[in-house]
Amino acid sequence: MQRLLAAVPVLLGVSILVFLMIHLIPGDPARQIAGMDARPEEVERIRDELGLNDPLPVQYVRYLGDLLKGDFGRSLHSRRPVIEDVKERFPVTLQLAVASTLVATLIGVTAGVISAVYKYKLVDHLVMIGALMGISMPVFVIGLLGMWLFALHLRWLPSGGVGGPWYTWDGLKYMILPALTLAGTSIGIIARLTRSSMLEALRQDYVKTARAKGLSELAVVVKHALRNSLLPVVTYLGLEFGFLLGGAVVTETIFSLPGLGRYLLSAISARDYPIIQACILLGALFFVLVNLVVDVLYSFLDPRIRYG
Amino acid sequence: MAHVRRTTGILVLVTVLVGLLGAAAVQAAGEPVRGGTVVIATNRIPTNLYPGRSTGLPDIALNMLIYDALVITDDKGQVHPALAHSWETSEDGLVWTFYLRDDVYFHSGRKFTAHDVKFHFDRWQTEFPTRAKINALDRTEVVDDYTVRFYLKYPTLVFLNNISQSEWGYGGIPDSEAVKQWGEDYGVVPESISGTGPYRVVSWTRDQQVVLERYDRYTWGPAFYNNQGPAYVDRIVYRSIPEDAARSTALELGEIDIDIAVSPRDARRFENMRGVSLLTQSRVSANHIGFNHWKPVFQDVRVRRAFVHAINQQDIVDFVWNGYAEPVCGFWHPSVDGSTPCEEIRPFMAEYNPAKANQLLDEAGWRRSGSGIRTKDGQPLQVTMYVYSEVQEQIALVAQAQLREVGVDVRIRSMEYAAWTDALANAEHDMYYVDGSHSTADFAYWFTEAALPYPNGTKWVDPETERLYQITQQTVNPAERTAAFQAIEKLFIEQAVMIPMPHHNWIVGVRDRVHGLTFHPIHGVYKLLDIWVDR
Repeated sequence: MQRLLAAVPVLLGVSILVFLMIHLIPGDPARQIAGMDARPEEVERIRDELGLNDPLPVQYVRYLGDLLKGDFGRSLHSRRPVIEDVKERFPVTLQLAVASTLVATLIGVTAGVISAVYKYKLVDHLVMIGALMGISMPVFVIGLLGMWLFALHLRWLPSGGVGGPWYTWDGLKYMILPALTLAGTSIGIIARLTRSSMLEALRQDYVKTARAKGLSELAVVVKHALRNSLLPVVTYLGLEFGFLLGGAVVTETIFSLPGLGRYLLSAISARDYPIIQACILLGALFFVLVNLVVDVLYSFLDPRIRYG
Repeated sequence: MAHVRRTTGILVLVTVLVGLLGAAAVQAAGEPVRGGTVVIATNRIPTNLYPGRSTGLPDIALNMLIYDALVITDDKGQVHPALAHSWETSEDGLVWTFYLRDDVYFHSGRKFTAHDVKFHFDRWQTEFPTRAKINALDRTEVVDDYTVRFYLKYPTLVFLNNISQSEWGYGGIPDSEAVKQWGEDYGVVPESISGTGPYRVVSWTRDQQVVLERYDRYTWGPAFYNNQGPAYVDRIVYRSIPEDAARSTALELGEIDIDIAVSPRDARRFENMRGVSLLTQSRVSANHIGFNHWKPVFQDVRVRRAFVHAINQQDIVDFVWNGYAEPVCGFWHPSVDGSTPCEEIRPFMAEYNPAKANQLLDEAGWRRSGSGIRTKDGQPLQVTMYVYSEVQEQIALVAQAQLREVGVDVRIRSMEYAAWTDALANAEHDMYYVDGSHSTADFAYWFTEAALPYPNGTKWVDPETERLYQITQQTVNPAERTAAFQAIEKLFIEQAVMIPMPHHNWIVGVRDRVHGLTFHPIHGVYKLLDIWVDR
């Protein structure tokens, strides 16, 4: 509870920062709304109507007042309530975040464990080279290569967009390529994290003890060493997942997914203030919440960790 | 009529110079068949489907399908009846009376009347960011259910053009009852949208697609289509795929039928691909590099003309646009009313001629220094060009290299569009590149005092331009308007107010199952009344 309360000043700080940032960067929403042919007096009129000519503190207090009433405002461009827009896009972002985190964890942890167990063998080297490639390749390269191979040449998967509900094949097949693309970097990082902390754990006395009492190698590795090596991985995953909930701009753009990342990006281009504010604030909120969950996971993985 | 150009031995491209030659059309094979779905993809997303409320291009394209206006312009700029079957103007040009069709129904089932027209114009005039289009309008009056009268503040020929649907669809008339019922949600919630156009909105997934279906009652299509309605296809899916490569892949796979925004880079891949044809046509563009006339260096016309002489347009056509563009002759696009025939304007143009550019710069006192960059009074000839997109950056790079040849050091500043507009308004730039399409030469407004600080990025303020522009806006004599625009063009070219740049092509990729697709030079797929697909 205390930790939840601690999130309030964080969010307040974020709201002030975002508000100041978007109002101080160059670019005038009224001019974007009016279009290229508009008269300067028209732009001025729109600015007045939107309240953009009021002093910044006045605008901020008005915004905060609405926010406290649960009102994120309407988009300056579409006039649609921002919350409606977010509600429509969040499921796509959530699906993508969950799918890519699952893929990254499964592949990354497995690869890391194999690498650690077969330390300095060929398979270790291969896995580590793969991991390095995953980390180094930009997302758009992985994405476009994946699209070229799986959509254009093999014709196994659609090139982009969204299909039916996620639990059906028609929905799932649209998520595979984006999830793999987005997971690319994480797989590499997780594999390396897992490998190094597994190597550390395998040297510990309790592993020797486990082996000495005659446990099978599989049980030693999975139950004893792995469980104790997962803490850094979970920390990383928490950060990454929280981050992904804010939207994955590049992946969403390549695969034409209607998620929060693209929504935020186009709002920034159009200087659609209410959308930018809402998206970043919600992103910060998700980030705080996810990290709270991660802290709880710590104590599950390592019973020595307790929170008062 | 289309003329055929061979780019390589194998491939044949159909290039249509619209305005000169008419609408581009994919050859219709056999008789139109009813039914089927056409998936159209573009790179941007619609935001609000209330005509006049949004200046976004996808919004405008969709509004063409959903709504009709009183009149509509064909691809040659000719005005045709639409919701109004006829109209007349008073002797002094101040009163315009429109006689409306009495057989038109909105998608909601309500009958269309003059009250809907008045309702739309009243809101447009008072609330919408696009209201400058009807600045001349004083008030709208309902004479009877099928007669509506507009009173103007001053006579103008632009009025008819600006209320025609072709002027960005702002004149599209929505169902006034639906607008009242939905308030701010009109045009945003799919169920709210009710027009009289050939297609109605079924669903709208944000950032993804808008699904339209044929409006079966529609029989009031414009006469320049073979089919006045109802449309042939059951459904139109208008999809947004932002990434160029992804859109091309989707077209190749047949996931989409028409890509209305093929990039010049991707066009090559379709040139000899089976199952896909490319349709290209000249954009009615106003592409130019503008000089900031407030900067001392550009106050000398010799310097400005030297810059124009230094630019080889053909290089930009070949290397940036991959051949999908035409070098410009004069400034207005040849299909625009007021453009001067090429052979007449050519003598006034500063055509590509580096020797001439060098000579003019020498005369203006800019001397070559050791580094090859010219200087005058110890100041190097260094200018910064502001651009806001990848293709603009490529164009700027070519211009940079060409201007370097004559001793000019060009710096390029690439920024985001919103920041670019601010920079232009604040006159931070020395030069800028801009692209955009205009159905008429009325955007000469950009080069007038009223357009300061933006969109007048050239900061060009000149009594003669002002005088000529006022004539174009207030005359009721079409010939006088044309002559004034021609005079403005000649003035711009002689004074080298800007460097006119190649008109790039609109490149459309179409799958072979699509027939009867006609294409408007500004609005692309337009009303899609003749389109049909193999089943």
